[in-house]
Amino acid sequence: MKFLLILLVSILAAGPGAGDTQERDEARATFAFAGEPRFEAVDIFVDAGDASLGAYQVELKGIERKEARVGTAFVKIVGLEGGDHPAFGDAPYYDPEALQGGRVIVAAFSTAADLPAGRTRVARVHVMLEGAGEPAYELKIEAAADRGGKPIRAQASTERVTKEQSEGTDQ
Amino acid sequence: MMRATKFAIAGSLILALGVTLSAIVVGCGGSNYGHMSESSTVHAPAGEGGVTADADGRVGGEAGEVRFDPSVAIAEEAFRQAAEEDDYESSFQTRREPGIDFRTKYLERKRDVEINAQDERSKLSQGQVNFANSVTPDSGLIGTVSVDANGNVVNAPVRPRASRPAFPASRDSIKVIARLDPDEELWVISKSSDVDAERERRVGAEDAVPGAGALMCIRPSIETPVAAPLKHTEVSASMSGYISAVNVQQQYENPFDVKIEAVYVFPLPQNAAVSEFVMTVGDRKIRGVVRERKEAERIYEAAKSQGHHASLLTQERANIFTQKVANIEPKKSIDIDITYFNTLAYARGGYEFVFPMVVGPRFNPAGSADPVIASPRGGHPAPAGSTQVQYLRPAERTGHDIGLTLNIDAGVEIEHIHSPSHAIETETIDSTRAVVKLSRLDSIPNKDFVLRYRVAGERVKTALMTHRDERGGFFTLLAYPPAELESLERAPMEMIFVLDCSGSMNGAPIKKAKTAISRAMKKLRPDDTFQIIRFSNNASQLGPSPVLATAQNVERGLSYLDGLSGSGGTMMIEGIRAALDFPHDERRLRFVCFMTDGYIGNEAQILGAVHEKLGESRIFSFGVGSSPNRFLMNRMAKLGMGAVAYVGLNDNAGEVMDLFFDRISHPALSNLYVDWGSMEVTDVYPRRTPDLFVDRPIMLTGRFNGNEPTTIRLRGRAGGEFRDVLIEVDPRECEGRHKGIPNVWARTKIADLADEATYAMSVDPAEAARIPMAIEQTALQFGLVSAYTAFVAVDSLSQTEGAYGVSVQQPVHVPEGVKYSTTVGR
Repeated sequence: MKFLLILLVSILAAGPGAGDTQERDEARATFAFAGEPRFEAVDIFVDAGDASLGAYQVELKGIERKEARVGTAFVKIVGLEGGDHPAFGDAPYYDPEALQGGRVIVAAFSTAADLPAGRTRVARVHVMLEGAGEPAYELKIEAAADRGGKPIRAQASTERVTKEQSEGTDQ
Repeated sequence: MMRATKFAIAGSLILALGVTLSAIVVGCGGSNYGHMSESSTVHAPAGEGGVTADADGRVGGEAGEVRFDPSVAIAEEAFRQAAEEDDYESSFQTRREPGIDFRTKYLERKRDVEINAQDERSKLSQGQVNFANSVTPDSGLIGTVSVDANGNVVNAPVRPRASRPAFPASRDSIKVIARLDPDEELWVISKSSDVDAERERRVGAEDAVPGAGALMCIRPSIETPVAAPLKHTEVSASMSGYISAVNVQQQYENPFDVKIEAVYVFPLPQNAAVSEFVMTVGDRKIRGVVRERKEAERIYEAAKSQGHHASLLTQERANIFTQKVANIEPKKSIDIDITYFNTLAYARGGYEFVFPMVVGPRFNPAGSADPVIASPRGGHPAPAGSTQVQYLRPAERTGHDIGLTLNIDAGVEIEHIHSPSHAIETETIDSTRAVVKLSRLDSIPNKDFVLRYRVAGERVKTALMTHRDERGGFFTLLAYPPAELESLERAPMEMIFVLDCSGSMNGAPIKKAKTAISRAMKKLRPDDTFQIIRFSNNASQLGPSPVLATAQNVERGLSYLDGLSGSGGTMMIEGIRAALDFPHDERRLRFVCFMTDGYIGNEAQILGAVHEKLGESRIFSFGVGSSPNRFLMNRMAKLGMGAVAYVGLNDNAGEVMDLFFDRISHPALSNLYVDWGSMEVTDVYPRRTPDLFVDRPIMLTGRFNGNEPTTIRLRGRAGGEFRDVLIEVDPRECEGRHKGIPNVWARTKIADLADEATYAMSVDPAEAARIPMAIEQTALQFGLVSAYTAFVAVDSLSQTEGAYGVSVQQPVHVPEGVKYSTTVGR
């Protein structure tokens, strides 16, 4: 369990990594996009295989580097929501400093008796898109642990969510 | 057995012979805002006996019984006067039920009387009095009740009123339970039912409504209900040591038939580090993110215009915030949860937790850059760049109420818990822990909630609190003045009293302030000098220069003080200039005491002037009233190298002034230098260490790397000598004390930068231009709201139908004790 706590604390307290300053400068630059901004959500899934998922940390990034902007949506994260399983149902925490660099580091841990195994949606990230192109996301799983805080192998993936899909699954 | 007490108020005399150790005054048909009529007389019975009401709503009429003018304000004033002069404390208590509201006001003796409001009639026990039988639908009364030496209830006869019922016939009764000590009595007095209902209904009417007593019943027939989007605020706080973690849940519900955007301007403590923001739509919780303010506003507007549920939290002042919630559909609700950390005031074993509930109506001098505008409900939208607070008219009410639960974990034995502002219910968990709840009888958000609790010992158990994470170590340190200061005598002083005589101070606040000044003047020594300055639209003063505090001069000063009243605007800058432009008498220490509610919108200008003109003066700010501008008060004292104190409407102004004199009667430890030993400390805030006054510890916060036990040494000058304060600390033992410490550090740094910004422009424009970016970067790094950052949350998957509808601003009450007519309705 100590691992879980350290994991969460480290997420919330994460300092800027190499290149963050440059990324932030890029992300903070003002761009004039044609048309209205759009909003969509990105679901984050973690597949822990047979193990029970007790904690995770992922980093999500919209592709927003200068060279990729032509024909690409500029992504801004505007909200974080929990996942499907009750153990990860609360809105997860994020690292505020990383957010200013155009990425979000999301993490959560659960002490619930019932933990999910296999592939489960752990979070939903709401984003605002600007620009004409389709967005692209990069997701990296940075840590996963079981109920006891023991690191486990897990894979993470994203799925874009439309309003229609959401209505189909959430209602 | 009976004791005599005199209540003297301006223009009237209330004699309560033989009774009134505690009092509850009951009435019906009044408004929320007590005003004072010009004259009245109340005579209490010479002995025990009933109190009756005649057809005119007057109680008494029989020889030897109570007679009084049915005026709420008179009773309130009498109580306050009594609280000041007769060593009583007065408190408020509010009861609210569907269709009927009550408000009780009572006095309690300071020693150990505790008054509770409960509902079960059955909870009678020794020393408790149940008024269920005293106030009935057709009695209107009323009576005095006491307990005898054995704790038995002695219920005086209740006589029915000759006129119409005081309370709606559908009500069973009013049940108020109060605990009395033997030999004490509780008064229950009716108020007039001859209230001109039309007068109350009149929009924008003067809010002085006749009626007596302090338990007011607002009948639905004479109250104007106002539909508003904010239904309820629920506050839950945990106090650990001198840091509190507070969650504020605002529950919005659209009562209209069209979609709305809710806008609510509300206060939080001026040192609140707001670090979490969650929007709940149905079962879904969406955590908001911190963005640069303009960017957050742009995101919010885009989401709003496209029909998404969205919310935005911005900061207008360190203690004023605006919450916007977009696209609330008819009859639907959205909740907003805001979490913050802040530090508690601490002195002599006592902590003080404050939760402000309403923003007072501000005065903005012409040309104010970013004013906070007070408007009547439904008034014209404020100009861009300003913040507008809309106020309910006197007889108007929304359904917005507030609940509050505090979990206290003191770590040491809790000796006493008390709220001077509200009725509370306290549950003791064990000797070191307790749960305090705001009584549901006191749920109208129109004044600051203040809770004081005293713990064992004169000092906190752990002065140093630390927290480490990947960012490094953070600490807070509570530093005490050296004990020997109390044995040092002060030098002669030059005391400048500056009294805010603006319209918002009219009535109870200015009386409170005058009482405090009066007390202070009587404590001056003959070799001290003093001056009294008043300001409203302009400033004037007792004389051209300070005068010696001789008996004759003090008498003249008191006479001048007595003639001051509240009206007009709040040109505080005039008061600042008048107080600080005096030539300084170098033989004396100059103390400037500002007595004000701080209801101004040009705080930056005032703080800049304080810094510019301070010189050798020390400023002590006294926040007066039920909901003073604590941001301004604290910053004036900080920049003025003095201290802050508050004089609530239920506080004993004399006691507050006595404590102040205790502090300044000894020299302060000044020009402080701190040697942090092996803690490897950096980034300490506030950067300019405040002076250490007797009975007033200071809080320092910083970053550190050290890990070994060490000794922190504070060195300063007092009484012409260097003096040291040594604090033994072991960072390892203090580790993990509170996860909120990094946020407290960041917020303190932001406050320090903001202070700097108020005066840097005139000193170093290049440096001043850098400050906003420094504040923004700190706030973004720690995920905090600031003047330059904001929280935004968008539900990208919801898309409501049609246009985003209209913006509806949540109207609020003017603070208790403040007159609508002399502020908003001016």
